[in-house]
Amino acid sequence: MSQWWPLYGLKKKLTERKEYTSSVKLRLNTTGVFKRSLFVYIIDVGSSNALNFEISALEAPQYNIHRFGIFLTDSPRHADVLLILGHPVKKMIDPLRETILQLPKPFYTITIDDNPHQPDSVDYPELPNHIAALTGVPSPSQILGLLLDIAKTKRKES
Amino acid sequence: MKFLFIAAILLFVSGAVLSSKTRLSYLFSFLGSVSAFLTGCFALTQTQVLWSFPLLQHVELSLYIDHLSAIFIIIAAISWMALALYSIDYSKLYPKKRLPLGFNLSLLGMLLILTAHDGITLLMGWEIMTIFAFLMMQGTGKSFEHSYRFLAFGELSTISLLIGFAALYSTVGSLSFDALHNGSFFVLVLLSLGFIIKMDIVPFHGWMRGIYGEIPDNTAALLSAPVTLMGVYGLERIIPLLPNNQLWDIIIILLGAFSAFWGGLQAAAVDKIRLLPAYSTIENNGIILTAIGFYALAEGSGIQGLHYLATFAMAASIILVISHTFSKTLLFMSIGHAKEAYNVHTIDQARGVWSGVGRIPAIGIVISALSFSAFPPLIGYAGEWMILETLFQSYRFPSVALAFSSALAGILIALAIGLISFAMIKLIGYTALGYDHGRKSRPIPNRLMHIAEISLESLIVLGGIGLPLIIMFIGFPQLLTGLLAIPAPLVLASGIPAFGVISPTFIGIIMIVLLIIPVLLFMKNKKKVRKVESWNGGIKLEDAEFFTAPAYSQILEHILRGFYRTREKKSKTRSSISVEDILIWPSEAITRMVRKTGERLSWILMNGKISAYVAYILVLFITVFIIGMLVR
Repeated sequence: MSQWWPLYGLKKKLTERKEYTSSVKLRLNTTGVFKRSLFVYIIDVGSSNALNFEISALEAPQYNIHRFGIFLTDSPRHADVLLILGHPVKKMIDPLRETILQLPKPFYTITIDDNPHQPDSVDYPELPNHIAALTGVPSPSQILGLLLDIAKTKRKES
Repeated sequence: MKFLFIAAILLFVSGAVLSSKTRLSYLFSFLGSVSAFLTGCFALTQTQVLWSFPLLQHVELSLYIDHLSAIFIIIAAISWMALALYSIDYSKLYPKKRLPLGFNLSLLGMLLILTAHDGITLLMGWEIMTIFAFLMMQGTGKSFEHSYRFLAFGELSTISLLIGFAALYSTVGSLSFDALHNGSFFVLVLLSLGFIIKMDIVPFHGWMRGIYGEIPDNTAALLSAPVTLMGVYGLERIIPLLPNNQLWDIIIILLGAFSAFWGGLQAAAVDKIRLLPAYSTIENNGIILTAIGFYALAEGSGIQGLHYLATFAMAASIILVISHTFSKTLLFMSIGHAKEAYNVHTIDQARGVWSGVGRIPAIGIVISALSFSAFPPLIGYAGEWMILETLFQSYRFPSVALAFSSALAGILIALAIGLISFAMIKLIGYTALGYDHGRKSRPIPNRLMHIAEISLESLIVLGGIGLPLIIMFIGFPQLLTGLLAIPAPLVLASGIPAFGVISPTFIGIIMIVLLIIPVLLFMKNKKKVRKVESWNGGIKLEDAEFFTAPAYSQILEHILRGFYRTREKKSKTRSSISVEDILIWPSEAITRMVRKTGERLSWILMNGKISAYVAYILVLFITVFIIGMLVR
């Protein structure tokens, strides 16, 4: 029976969607400088592991964010967007501040707060250029839609 | 001129007498140096007998001042003036009586050496300088053993000079420098060895490793620049007078070149902030020694075609002396300033002088280090170009052995200059312009320190750009020509027929003109700069996690592990790399032997038994008695 799974996948069109939409409204006006490429640095300040799974799915063939010119980078010094995962714990506040200091201008910060009412947690520090705040665990297509909105990239029709 | 000379001596003596008031005492030494400087300036044109006193029938104590003395007095006096100004501020941090006393009297000793015209006066000056420099070294009171080693080497040089002059007296019957024309090979070897020991040439540098970290700043600068200058002066004085010996000349050339190489090699590996310039002194004095040896070899060969080359080598040695004395004094002053302000001992701890201590000491470190790295158009560039040009014209010698040894010396010196540049980058990149880690220095009195530093900085830059003037001033106008579009006295030519030419003046002008355009462009579109720490995953970097000076040297230490005896030291918490200077082993072994013998003797003689002590005194008494009988 397992040999029919690819056909099932093709029928469902798991990789290709006509449009990636995000329901989040951007808080700031965006510039057009990121149209061709957007580099994202991810910092996990205290999420449950669920958000990391969603992010890793973005790089997988199913979503393949590279085709839109969106890349994940290993250093905040190369990043245009800082993606902050989770509700911060106390020990991550200083590293988060240091990371924001390292970002080159212009940049945006996004928060995805998967557990706003976490016990023993602290508030976010002041985030400059905080363009979007998500709560819960969004699906990869929602995150991709948000990134595309920020970059003002034209969506490809499948 | 006599008046100025006597005034200088009186000022030094009164400075020594008033040593309880440290600042006043240093002020006197400054005034004495100014007076000595003026004496030198007036004496440039004429030879003059300052003082002459017949001691025995053929022995006359005399003080002469001629062109060579005048040049060296001027060079030394500039260094003394800067050091005296520096010390006035420094004495507030370090108010010990012993320092100004030693400072004044060792300057007096040096002035005597520079004007002496006979063996006894020279030795008097030599001993005064050595002993009072030793007194200054003991100022901190914690480095007795190492300062005794300095004294031992100083006395070794005195003994060598003493036997040399005794040999001269026994053969010629006079101690005057005029009698050196008839001196023997033995005299040549002993006298030049005496001066070479004072120049800290390689097997005689064993004392410096332990001590340079502990002595006061002005003492370190004094020992490294003016005191070694006396050795150079002695050589420049006696070598042209004594009969030439080719074998000794080759030995001097190779010893100097090897010393330069070794100094550069060790300077590249050290991490103590004072030891690096100390090893650079060994390197520079080695180069100077090679230049003097080459002069003696070329001039002594008697070949007409080599006369120009010999003159060029002599000019090279004096330019190198000027460059070394100014740059080394400045380097020690700036480093001392930074070291006192931070109160630290290693290159890594004294990072970021530019932002942490001040602009002027940082510029001082950068300029002197660039001058040692032969950066155009500074004066060190001219000096090091001149010595390399000299050595690579060795093909002009008819004998293969001479040509080969000079070329070998050239290779060693080229390596030495490369190694010293490698070492100086540590001072520029870490100490002067490095990241200061947010450290702030303690406030120290620095107005006069700044004046001294600025004046030496400008002298080094102007000395390079105004090289033709200096060449004329030291008496070699025949080396200057013109070429193509550059007018007549601005080009320095290294050989006839032509071998190589430079014009630091022209380079300086072009660099300034070419620099103006980028600077104007930079000023116009000034971009905003944000300074952040190195990215370490959001975690703050510890001091030890930065790229340290030992890490910078590590690659060299690993590649040349045969020379350095590189070893890895491991403990539970950390591991590090240690290197050694294998050429101080002989002096270390002698020190150990002396200590062991002393301990054993004291154990035998002073063992608390009264009978042994009485026997000891009795034996001594009888020995003295017998010697007295015999002498009679």
